[in-house]
Amino acid sequence: MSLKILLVEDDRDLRYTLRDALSVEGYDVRPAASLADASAQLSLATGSQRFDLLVLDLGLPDGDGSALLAHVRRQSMVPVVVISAQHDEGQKIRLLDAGADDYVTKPFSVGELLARIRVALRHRGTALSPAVTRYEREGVHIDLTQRTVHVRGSAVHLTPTEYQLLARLVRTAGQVVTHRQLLADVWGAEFVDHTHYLRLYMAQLRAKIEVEPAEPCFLLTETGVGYRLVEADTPPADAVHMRS
Amino acid sequence: VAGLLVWCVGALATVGLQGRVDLGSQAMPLVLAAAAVGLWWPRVWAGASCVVAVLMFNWFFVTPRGSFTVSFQRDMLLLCTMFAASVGVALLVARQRQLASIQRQQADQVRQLHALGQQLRQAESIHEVCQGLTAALNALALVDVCTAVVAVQQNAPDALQVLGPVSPDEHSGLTICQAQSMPLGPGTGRYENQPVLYMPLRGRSKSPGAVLIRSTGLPLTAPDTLAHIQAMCDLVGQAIEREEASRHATEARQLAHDQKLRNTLLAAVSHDYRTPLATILGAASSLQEQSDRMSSAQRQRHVDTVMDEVRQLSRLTDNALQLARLDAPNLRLLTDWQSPEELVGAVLRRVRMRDPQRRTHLRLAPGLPLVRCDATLVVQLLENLIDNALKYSPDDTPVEVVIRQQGHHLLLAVGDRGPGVLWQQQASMFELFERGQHGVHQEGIRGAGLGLALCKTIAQVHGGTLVYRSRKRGGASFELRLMIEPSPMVDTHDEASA
Repeated sequence: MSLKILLVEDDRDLRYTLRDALSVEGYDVRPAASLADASAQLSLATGSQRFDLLVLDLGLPDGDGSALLAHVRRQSMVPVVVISAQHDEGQKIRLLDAGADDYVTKPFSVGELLARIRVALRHRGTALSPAVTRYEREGVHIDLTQRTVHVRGSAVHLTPTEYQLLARLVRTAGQVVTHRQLLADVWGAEFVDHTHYLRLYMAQLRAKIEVEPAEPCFLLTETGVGYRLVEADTPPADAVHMRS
Repeated sequence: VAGLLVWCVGALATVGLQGRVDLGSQAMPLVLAAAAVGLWWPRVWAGASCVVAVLMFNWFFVTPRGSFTVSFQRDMLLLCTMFAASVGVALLVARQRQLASIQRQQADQVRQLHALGQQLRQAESIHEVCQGLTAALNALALVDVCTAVVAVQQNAPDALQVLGPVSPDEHSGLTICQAQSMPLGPGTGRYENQPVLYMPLRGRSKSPGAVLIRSTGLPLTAPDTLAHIQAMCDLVGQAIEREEASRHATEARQLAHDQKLRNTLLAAVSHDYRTPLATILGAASSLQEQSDRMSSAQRQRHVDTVMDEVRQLSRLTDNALQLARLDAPNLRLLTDWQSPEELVGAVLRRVRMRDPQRRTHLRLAPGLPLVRCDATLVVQLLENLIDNALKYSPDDTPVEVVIRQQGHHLLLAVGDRGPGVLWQQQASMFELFERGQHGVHQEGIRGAGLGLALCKTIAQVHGGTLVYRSRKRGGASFELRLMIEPSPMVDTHDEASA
């Protein structure tokens, strides 16, 4: 049985295109053109019928998609990938802090959306499934249970803060983490405005992990929003596309 | 009182001199005293005091004493001389005193007008202008307390905006006064029975308003007082006119600016959007109609073309929207501490997609400080500059991105080895919708004008500068300078390794 995705998009052409693209990837796509339609489908889908992921466009004819996001978050931890129409970093941050898992900005490529969906599904229900503890990609090995970081064959020593920052990103590898979330999780709630801490520690981490720190391949900057650790090479066994 | 005292002293001195000097000399203190009172008393009183002095002298000292008759001709002459001299001196002194007082008053008025003018120049609103006038009227020594209610003609040409409480009668008084540009009320010769004074706030040709003056003290009827008040009112009238003129000018400038922006965006849409759209339509329709007769390589090339052109359109749209957004009057930047390395890293990540040969080289000085800026905007600026450099220079030449500290500034420079910019165009290329001349002839190069205008605007909203410089061995260099502020402290207590 395929993973079930609710696609909330009011533009007909984009809805059809995305439905086809996601169907080709093997997902069971249920399109919805409005907030009302999406709410109805969500309330009908219970138990084994429930959705595995939401793709949510924000500008809908009968209201703002963020209202639906808040509604969904009150009931479940289903992953939500937001389609944002504007280059409004403030809005993206608000949505991510309100519980959205990731976002794409129009115009986006199908590949980009698929990558976001894949990562969001992998991290879905982290409260239930075992948390991500290992990260491997292009010579970088991070093991959170052993507290070890190996880069291109040699062990790398990190300060406690550097390690906590990296560990936070590893737990949601592939997903964007806002400045606020990172600062709150690593330094504490009273540090959420100290973005200059992030700049300095991220530079130190990059110097230790990246081949070319000025052109990072692992620790990416999402300008104005936050940071993203690039997806690991081989997804863990619990995050394949199909349910068994 | 002082006058009376001097007069008495003079009289006593005259009595004291009795019998010691001759009659003529004995009269002198009295003559002097009578004249001196002119310093304090009004003219009529001073004159009267001289008459009294002469009559008393005659009564007490001139033979026969105790009567006004004069027996000797010489005494008659003395009395006449004494009278003429004391009256003459008293009147002259009094007149002099009056002139001095008028001069003082005029100087005061000039000073007051000057102060009011100064105040009006600094006033920022019509309310402040009116407060200035009320304060100046109250400062007039002649008036006890007065309240001024100002009415101005603003926006609507036929309606007065009254800044204070007035009765219906007073409102019509203000309207008449403003419309006719003439004062009315007591002392003005028009509507003398009115309880309050109305003064027009006269501008150059018409009166932009009028003022109503209620005073609790003496009525302000003296002609020179009225003239002074009118002068103050005229200052206010001119100030209101000036303010209105500058407001109109600002509005006109804003309108022209909006118009220009609209035209620019329209021009960008009509010009820069057509070519990508035509290319996309060409490639897509070709795929639709000829797909079965194409090789897979040809199909892929068409698909790549569509993707490239769509990205180009997307960047154009981003630029146009950002330019419009930055132009809004209540612009708010999302500034934060940013690392130059991180900013340029984000730019390079995007640029690499359109730079498969990796022509872009980064030279980043070590240990750069953080800068306060809106990351999205600075990234967009650098992306535009690098994009332009890649587009406007030959495919086999490098594009260099240099970031280093230069005094109190952070320098971010993007240089290429292309043809550079003609000196005739260097001044205008940052203006809206200009384009390097070579762009017109060279294929595949479009839309730099909007981008450069946006870059300049982004630099400006950050308080920075963006300048063009021709490179020594050929090529263009665009240099962005951002101010470096003292960075905030970071508590790095955990330097021990994990």
